Amino acid sequence: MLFNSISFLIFFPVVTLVYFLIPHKIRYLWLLGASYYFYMCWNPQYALLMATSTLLTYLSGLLIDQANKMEDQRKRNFWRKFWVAVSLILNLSILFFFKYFDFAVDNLNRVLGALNITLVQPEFDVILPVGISFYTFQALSYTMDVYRGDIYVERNVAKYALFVSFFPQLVAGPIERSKNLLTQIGQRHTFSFTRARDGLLLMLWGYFQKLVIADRVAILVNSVYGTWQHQTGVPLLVATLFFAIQIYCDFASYSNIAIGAAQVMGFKLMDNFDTPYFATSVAGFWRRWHISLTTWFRDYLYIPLGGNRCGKVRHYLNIMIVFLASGLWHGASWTFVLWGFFNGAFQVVGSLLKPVRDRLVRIFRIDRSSFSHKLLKAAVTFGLINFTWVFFRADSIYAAIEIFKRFKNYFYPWMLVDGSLFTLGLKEPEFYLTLICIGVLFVVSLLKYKGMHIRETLAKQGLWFRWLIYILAILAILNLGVYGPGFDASQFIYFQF
Amino acid sequence: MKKIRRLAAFAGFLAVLIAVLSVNSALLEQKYSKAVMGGFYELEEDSVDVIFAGSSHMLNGVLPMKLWENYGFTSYNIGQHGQRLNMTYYYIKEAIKKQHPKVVVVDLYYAFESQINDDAANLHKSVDNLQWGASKIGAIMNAAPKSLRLELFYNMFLYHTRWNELEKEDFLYLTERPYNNTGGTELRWGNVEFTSPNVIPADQTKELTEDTVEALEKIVNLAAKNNVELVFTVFPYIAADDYQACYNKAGQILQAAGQHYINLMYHMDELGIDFSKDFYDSEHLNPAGAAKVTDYFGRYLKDHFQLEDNRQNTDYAGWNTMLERYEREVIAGKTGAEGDPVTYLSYLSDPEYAVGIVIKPDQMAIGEEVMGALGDLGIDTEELVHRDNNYVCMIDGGKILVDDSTEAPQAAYTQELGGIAWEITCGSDIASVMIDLREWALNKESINIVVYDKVLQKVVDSVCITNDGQQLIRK
Repeated sequence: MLFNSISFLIFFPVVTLVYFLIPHKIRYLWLLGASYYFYMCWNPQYALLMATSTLLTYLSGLLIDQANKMEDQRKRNFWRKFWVAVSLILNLSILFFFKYFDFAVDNLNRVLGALNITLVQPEFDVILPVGISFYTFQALSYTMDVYRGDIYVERNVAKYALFVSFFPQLVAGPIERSKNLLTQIGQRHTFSFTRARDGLLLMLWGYFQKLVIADRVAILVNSVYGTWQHQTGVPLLVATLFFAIQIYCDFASYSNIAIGAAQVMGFKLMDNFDTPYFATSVAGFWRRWHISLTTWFRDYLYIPLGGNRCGKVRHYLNIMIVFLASGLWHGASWTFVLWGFFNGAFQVVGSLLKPVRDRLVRIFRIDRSSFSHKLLKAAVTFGLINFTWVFFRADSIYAAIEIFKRFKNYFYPWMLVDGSLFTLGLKEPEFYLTLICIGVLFVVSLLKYKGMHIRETLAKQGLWFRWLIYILAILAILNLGVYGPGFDASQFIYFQF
Repeated sequence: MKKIRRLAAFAGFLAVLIAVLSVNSALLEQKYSKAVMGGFYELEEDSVDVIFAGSSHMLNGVLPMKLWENYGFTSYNIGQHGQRLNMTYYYIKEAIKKQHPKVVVVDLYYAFESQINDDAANLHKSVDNLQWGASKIGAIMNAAPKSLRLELFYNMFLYHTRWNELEKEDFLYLTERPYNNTGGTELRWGNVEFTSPNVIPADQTKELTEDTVEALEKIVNLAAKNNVELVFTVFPYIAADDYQACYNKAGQILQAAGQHYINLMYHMDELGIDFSKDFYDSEHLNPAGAAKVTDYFGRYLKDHFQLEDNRQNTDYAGWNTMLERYEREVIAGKTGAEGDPVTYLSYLSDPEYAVGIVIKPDQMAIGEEVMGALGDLGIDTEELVHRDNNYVCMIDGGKILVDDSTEAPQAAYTQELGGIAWEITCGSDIASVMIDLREWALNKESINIVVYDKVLQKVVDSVCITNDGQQLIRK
């Protein structure tokens, strides 16, 4: 079920209430049942797939632990690696089949077609199970953590299954680590009013980001990108910038609702976004964006490949491998691969050009700690990231290239002031409202960037002020949210991954 | 102790939140047809003997105030646009709960098809205007498709998008409920000419859908259970042959069950219905047509039911006040529907009107006919020849109180008219008529007119007239 649905608004309070009423010993069973019910609302058959991944990685933990007890070191190493490999191959095969099979067949057909060889088309359409990329990676992290000795082996299959399927973060992250979430499942959680209030406020912010901002800017983005062939540079640029807002708010909102919901129940999930658009480098952006995925790739791919503790060429190659993999993780399409490629390439080029930048700083005596310099770096980084978003959003590489051509050849700046902006899908009042909401987002992000803990600060204010903020937030979501007749309860962008 | 304080604070917050959300809903809700059921709920309980229920045919087709005036019967019209019979059942249920009427007249328009209604707009018009209770819940669960139930239960799902369409009446609704002066009827002024429709023989029938029969049975059982008499009716309109066949079938079923049934299509001569004068459109009667139908019902009700003529009953004096207001509403309707500027100006000498006229400077001269009509009101038209001047006029009950043309850059007057404060200002770009500190002038053309009805105590019209007298503009 979607977070922005009536079903969830009934489901969550009921699950939480029962959770705190039943004995501690059986609470994880209740959550396990609720999590599977949550997932089965999408499609009951998909739950079998998730159960399969759960069982495979659960067994891998037991088998690795068994191998650890072997006295013969060669055998021990062999079997430990063997079970890791089996877990990786089986789980990634499932992921590959459901996510990349059609993509692989299409590309194979193209290559063979160029050689005048025809391949029999498969007669079935593979439907992507929701959240498969997320829970597969989460489950695999357990296998590798057990292999590395970073986590104990979980023998209780139900507790382990809950780790994989925990409903707040199941379908779109954060991708949790066993060290964090699995250990919490065994702990006692008592109800805390302060913690619950904080969690609910975070959920409220998430709903604001999703319903008021993300789904509103999506109207313009979809309208313009859907008709890109008939659009000129300014509308496409505005749509690209709005897409940057859309994808951030859409994804961050899910994470915020997930983290907030888990917090109400006493679970602490990892942060997934940390004001990413204030980053001053592409590498810095990736330390702030989809943190759980970035750290996953860092810990389970980048570091095993050697990370940066190898020659420069190998280091850069590792970066490119990670970001190509990240691109592919995001979607079975060459646009995503190219998106990943550019993100990696910008970091490599950035690293290569560091001596040049250092020289320029020395020559022009630039104070790197100055606000203006940081602003310049942030603006350049934002520009580079937006460049990559065009590939992420466009239907095809061809479309993305054509869009860039339109930026260059058909850029009419007067369209910014002659009312054209109100013909792109959002009428004038809606457009201004969007700008105001982006302003609110900016202020909140800036406060967070400056280190303010907003919810804690709010909690210290007078009752009347807190109530005013809560009520205004609820009113804003209810009145300004994009939902109801005429708006399909829009799914979160990252559900397709 | 801390827990109790926290619980109390949470309960307090919920109470405040619910209050705010209620105000929010009242602000954003669509106000269309609020007055119909609003007026119904304001009636004193058990004060109405006859209820008229059904679709827009009923809503436009019967005039309760004329029934009172000519027969002394107390009645109310709770017809709603697009209302199917399964929804009408709940409206009758609500009417019985509040008024215990002796007779309910039910319109059979939608008997020609299934009662499944997925028209969200019409469902909202019916459901939004019911007060919360068993009838409203029953209507949502049984007379609306599943896909629309959520937005009918919590209509902010639909109306929350109105935040950028809010108008004056939305804010006024928070403090003033719209008052219905027509006994519930929606008066639709105007007429379209038609030729009389083909009327099929009464024995030509077509089977009704199962849910139509079911809805009729439910209504009959409901009435029987509550000692209410029913009269089922079909209004005259341009009806297709197969629709008429369905009405005939319904009539057979209902008459066999001992129910009153009048198909007015077969009484058009008796009614004196004129298809060239009595119709707003091909389906709905205008007030002239409705008056004829009302008179017919008056006679029928008098002949068939024991209804009291309460015109001399002092307990019902309030109905005479309602009648007076209704008559003013009819005049306001005529004024509001008038499109010819010269004819329009002739209405402004009504003894119950207070009128503010602002004529801004303009290069164009005022047309001869408009000038003549203004002169007929008693305005000094010689001054109006000076088109560089600012002109202000105030008329109270046909008497000119202010009639001033000035070369000054701006003319401003404050006057009490109809018992309330008026401020009228005229400048080169200013045409302002503020009544009780609210702006009413349109300010789209040189000639601006605001009409206030002293009996209804509201502005009934605000128009602009082009200099040449060719156009009358309302919005």
